[in-house]
This record gives sequence, structure tokens and C-alpha cells, in this order.
Amino acid sequence: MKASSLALAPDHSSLLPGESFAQAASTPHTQLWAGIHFPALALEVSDFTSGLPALIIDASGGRQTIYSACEVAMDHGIMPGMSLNAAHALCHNLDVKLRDPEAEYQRLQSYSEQLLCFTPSISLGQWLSGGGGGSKNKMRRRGVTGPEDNADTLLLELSASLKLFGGLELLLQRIRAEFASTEVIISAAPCASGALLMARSGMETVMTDPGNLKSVLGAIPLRIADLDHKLVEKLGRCGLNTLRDLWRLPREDLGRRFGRPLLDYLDRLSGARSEAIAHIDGPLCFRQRMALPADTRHSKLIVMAAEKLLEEARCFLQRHAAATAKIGVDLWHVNRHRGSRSRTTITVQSAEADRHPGRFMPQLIEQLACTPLEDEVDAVSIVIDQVVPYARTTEDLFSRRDQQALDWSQLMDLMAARIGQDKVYTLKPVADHRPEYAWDRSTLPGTPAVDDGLIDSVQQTLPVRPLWLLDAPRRIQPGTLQLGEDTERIEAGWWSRRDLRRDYRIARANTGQCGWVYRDLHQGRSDGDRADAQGWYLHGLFA
Amino acid sequence: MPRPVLENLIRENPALWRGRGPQGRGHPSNAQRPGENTVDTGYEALNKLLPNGGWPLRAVVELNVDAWGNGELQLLLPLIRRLTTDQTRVAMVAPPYQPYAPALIQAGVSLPYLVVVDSGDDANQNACKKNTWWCAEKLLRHADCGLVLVWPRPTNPVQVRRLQLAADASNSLGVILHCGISVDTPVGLRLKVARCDQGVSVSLTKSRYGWCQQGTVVLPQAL
Repeated sequence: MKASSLALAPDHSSLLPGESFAQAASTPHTQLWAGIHFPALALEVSDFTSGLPALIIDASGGRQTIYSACEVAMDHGIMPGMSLNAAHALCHNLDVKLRDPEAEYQRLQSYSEQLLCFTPSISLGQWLSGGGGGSKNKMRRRGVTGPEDNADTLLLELSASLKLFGGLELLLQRIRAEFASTEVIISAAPCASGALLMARSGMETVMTDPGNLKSVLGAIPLRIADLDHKLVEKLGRCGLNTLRDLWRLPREDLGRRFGRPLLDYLDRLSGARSEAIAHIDGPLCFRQRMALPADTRHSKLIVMAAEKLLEEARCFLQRHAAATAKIGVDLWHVNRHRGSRSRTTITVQSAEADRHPGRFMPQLIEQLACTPLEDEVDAVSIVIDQVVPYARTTEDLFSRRDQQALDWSQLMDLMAARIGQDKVYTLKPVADHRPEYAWDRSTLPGTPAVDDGLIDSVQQTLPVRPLWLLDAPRRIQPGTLQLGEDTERIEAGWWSRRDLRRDYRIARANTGQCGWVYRDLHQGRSDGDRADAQGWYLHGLFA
Repeated sequence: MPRPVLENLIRENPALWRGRGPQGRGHPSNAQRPGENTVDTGYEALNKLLPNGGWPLRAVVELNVDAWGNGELQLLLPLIRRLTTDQTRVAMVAPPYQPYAPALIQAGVSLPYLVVVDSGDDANQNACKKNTWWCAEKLLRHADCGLVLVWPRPTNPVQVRRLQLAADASNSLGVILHCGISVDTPVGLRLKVARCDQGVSVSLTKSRYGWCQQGTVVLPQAL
């Protein structure tokens, strides 16, 4: 069974999702796993508003059994595992909801995202090939269940993060602080299965010595372990109720009677056998929506909501060591008369990817100001779906610029957002004899490389050019101008549709202006040097 | 107040400047201080004309011409060349025509550092006026930008004052290029530029820094 993982540690350079095994090394004792159990996860994802004792029931097995109960319900004597009828007998006023495994999984996933700043190896408790091959079904047949049935525990591999966060104690404290408003049970053990089991059985134990694992885990009843119900029943009939009971039996005989998978599981628990664990995976994408307190057209309120969302986006990018150059902002409209919903999408782009989406704020404000809103806005959402690895730029320690100021590319982005993407540009020369095509705009960020050879040839061989070029040559009456001598004939482009044959010269007007004028030779050359009314054009001005 | 204290104040407070007394150029209080808050224009004669011998920094200068193409850019090209080759940004906001890359290269300008902001051609006249001033002010305030050329149509005393404050805050130079009859705007320095037979004539029509040299200088024609 393959476990896919995503390398997202702050020091990982690649963000490309790849397939890899998080196989425990041959020395499993170097690992340290933390199991984070959310006992009230099912209750948290459903919203109970009635104020009555809350129950979550599980109807998957054909019977309606209590999956999770709130404290008030527990006080009435309601216990998980009971049937719903029994619960009603204990307390007749209950708020009962069906379990929503999908929502639980989503919540667990968002928790795991939150923890990515501590370690890149996080598992949603999905694994666990028994150390070698075999599909899930096969495993189930042999008596070991997949833990995805009750995914309410996260597994974190912490050994690589200990030094950075100043030791296990401090690290666990910080993890706990992440879940200040949620009930969590955190345990740590040198093996993943052990940590998972300890957390799930409610033991807030930190165990770093693999030698003590068996004695700590020994008291855990078998029904909590990741074993099939039937197997547990079978073991129970033999008087084997805790893990310690199993460990006391001769290993070979246990294997012969109850199957190899049971032995494998026991070995994984004691850290004697390595295990493969699926790390969290998925496309890196930030999608967050915030409802506004009231329907509004007021951009200030929208901006405030966007600011909060961008702050969340910043945390997201930081956790994933990523940066983005493009943010989509959706403004959700609701038309209460027609009962329809629509949205306006604003895309804010930057020339440079940045991990602080706050830099998009000035641009967003500009674009918001020039986007007409068809209806009142009731929610704002932010989507970041294109991320690149964050590249740290070195900044000058003694830079004269203060940190608050926009940097140059930001300013360019801001102006482009206001007046148009193609209206802020630098110029570059193009190797073409035709004056119109001898230059181009460059809206690329930074300072584009310039072809030195081209610059040399322009500087040294090209006759003088005017500083202003007219967008389109303007027809003139040369009578009022003082025309100089022909300075240059340009005849090029015959290979394309835009061929031209022109004699250029410099002309001076009464106002003192100097113009770059030409006679179009396509229109028939007049005799001699006489200024002909036909075919004279002004193409540029010497400023 | 003792003299060193006054000197210190003048040096430290950018809002204070030394006016020129009526005693004439020979008087010691009217002595030129070349390089004091100014940059070299690249033209000897122009340096002499301008107070303190160069373009003032932290200021807005207005160049007034009767029609575009009367040598107004030629006046600024040495400065643009020097700034861009020193990797300082120079911006052109709402130029009346397309700045032509080959000509700029011939003038020695390093193009990657010259930014053109085309805020001038927009169907919505009001928006484009507003955008022009807005961009100019943002650019002028930016520390990387050493020189901003603006072609506002038309000039507006309030906005010019804003530019003045922006330039003051960032140690850069703003140049307003104005075509037609000059209106009174709170610029620090106004020059009238015209072409004449010998080249480009420049005359000082307003200077808040005091008069240095009355009259007109003629710069050699680049053409």
C-alpha cells in the first residue's frame, strides 16, 4: 500500500506533490510521534443550538448507537456505545444528530493544516499497511481494521522539530495552545500506533523510552485498540481483555491461534516493527469565505473582511513555505427580491510572488474602487490556488528604505491595477530598420536584460532619432516647414505586408519645433527637391 | 540668534532656504553654494543660471514651452542619463507622445530604469487627470525614484503643491512640463524653454530660491 506525502517543511525546496513512503527507518527509536485526539470532534462539527443535551449517533451498523455525547448527557448516564432507545430512557429531551464523517474529516484536515508549522509529517491516522503489502480489505479480513473508521486523531512526527522549538515540553505546549478552544488529548510515544492508542484511550502521557512502552500500553483495553470487533470478542472469550494479557502469552502460540496480523499489530505498538503512514496530501489551495455583518456596497467593510482573510492567507502561506503572485477575491451578492446569488470576481496580480498577501491590499483597494458592484455584497471569499515555493530574498541590512514603504515592483503593480496592466512599462529596442517596429514595451517585472550589441549598434550606426514618436505618422503640408536635406532612406519590410520606402529628413517649424518628417516613396517621388504636397508625413518630434 | 544656530537650522530644516538679498550678486550673503541640495544639470551655462548651481532637489520644477518639442527634454537628458546609469529610477507620467526607445538609447539612457506611465490617454478625461497626478505623486514619494517628469493637462495649483510636498519627503526632483501660457502654480522654479537659432534658450521666470542670474542662457543644440 502506497502512502503519498507532500514535502512541505519550511526547509523543503519542492512543493510538487510526489509519492513517497514515510517508512520508519531501520532504527525506529529515533522517531517520536505525538498523537492528538479530539474526543469531542463529532460534537464540534455539528452545530447544536437547542441547548438540550447533545448526542451524536452512528447508524452505520444498522443500529442507532450513541457515538458521542456531551457532558450534560454524560451526567444523565448516557455513554457512547449505548443504543439510542436506552439513551432516551435515561433522558427524554435530547438533541440528536446523525454523525457526519465527512465534516469530521474536513475539520481534522484543517486542524492538520494548522499544525504544519510544527512538522511536515502529519498523518490523519490513515495508514497503516501492516508493514508490508496487502490491501485494506485483506487486512480487514484478517482482523485488523483501518483506523479511518474513526478518524478523530492526528499523528505528528516530531523528532526533527524538537531542537527548533526548544524541546518536547515546549513543543507540546505550543501545539496545545493551537487548540485552546477545543478539547484535546495529546500523548507522545516512539511509535505511531502507540501514540495513537494512548491518545485515543485518554492517556496524556509523554513517553520517549521505547523500553517502557509495553508497560504503559498494557492497561489499555483491547476494544479501544485498532482490532476487529469479532477478534476482540474472540479474545475476550478467552479472558484476554487488555494488551498486557496478550503480551504475557507466548508469541508463537498467539500467532498460530489468532493470526499473523495480530502479532504484527502488537509489534507495531511496541515499536518493534516499522510502519508506513500516509502523510497528509492534497493540492495546495487556500479558500476562505467570510460573511459580512450586513449587506453592503461600502468598500470599507469589504476591505475590512478581506484584510482578515488575507491575514489567514498569510498564515496559510507561511505554514506551507509558499508564496503567491495571484489572489482571487470573490464578492458574493445576494439579491433578496429575486432570491438569486451571483458573484463578482476581482483578480489581484503581482509581478512578484510574495508570502505576505497583505501586499495585495493596496491593489485590491484600487481595483475595488473601479469595479462597479451590481448588488449588495453579503460575503467575501479569497482564493489562492497558484502557489510557488517561497524564495527568500536577501535584503540590505542598512537599506535606506523603511520597511513600511512599498517596494518598486509593488508600486508598479499598484499603478497597473489602477490605470491598466499595459500602461506601465519600460521601453526596449528591437532590431528592426522600420522606425515603428524598432522599439517595444516591456511590462515584465524587474530589469530585463538588454542586448548590448543592439544598443551599441543603435548608438553608433543609427542616424539621429527623435525623442517623441507619433503613434501614427501625421500627414503634413510641407510648405510651412523649413525642410533640411534628406538624411536617411529607410526601405524595409518588403517581406511582410508592412513594407515601407521612405526618405527621412529633419524639418523645422515656425514655432521652433523640430520634426522628423518623411516622404512616402510609395506614393510616387516628385521631381527634384521641390517640396511636394503629396506624401509628406510627420513621424516624430525632437524634444 | 547666533549665526551657527541659524546655519544649523537652514541645514537641517528642508522648509527653510536661503533667500538672496537685494544687495546684488557681489554681496557675501548672496554667494553661490554650488552643490547645496542641487544636482548638476549637465550644462555649464544652465548650472550658472540656476540657484546653487543645478536642479534643486526636493522640489518641483516647471518647464514651460510654447509647443512640445522645443528642447524641453534635451534640457533634462543629461540628468536622466546620469540617474538611469546609476540605477536610479526615472519615470515619465502621461507623456504627450510615445517616448522613442532608439533615441533614448542614443542619448545614453539606460532604458530598464526608465518607466513610462501612460495615464494620459483614457476616454474618461476626469479619471485620467486624476490618475496622472496620483501616479506622479506615488512615484515622487518612492525612495527608488530620483526624477519624475509629468505632463499634466492642465496643471492644477493644488496638485502641484501636493507634488511639492511629495518631492520634499523623498529627496527627489519632480518636473512638470507645461505647454502654453503659464499659470501661477506653487513651483519652486519655473523655466521658459524655447528653441532659437543657436540652440535652446532657457530663461528663469520664477525662483523661490532667489535670483542668481537674470536673463537667458543658450544651450548648444543637440541636433
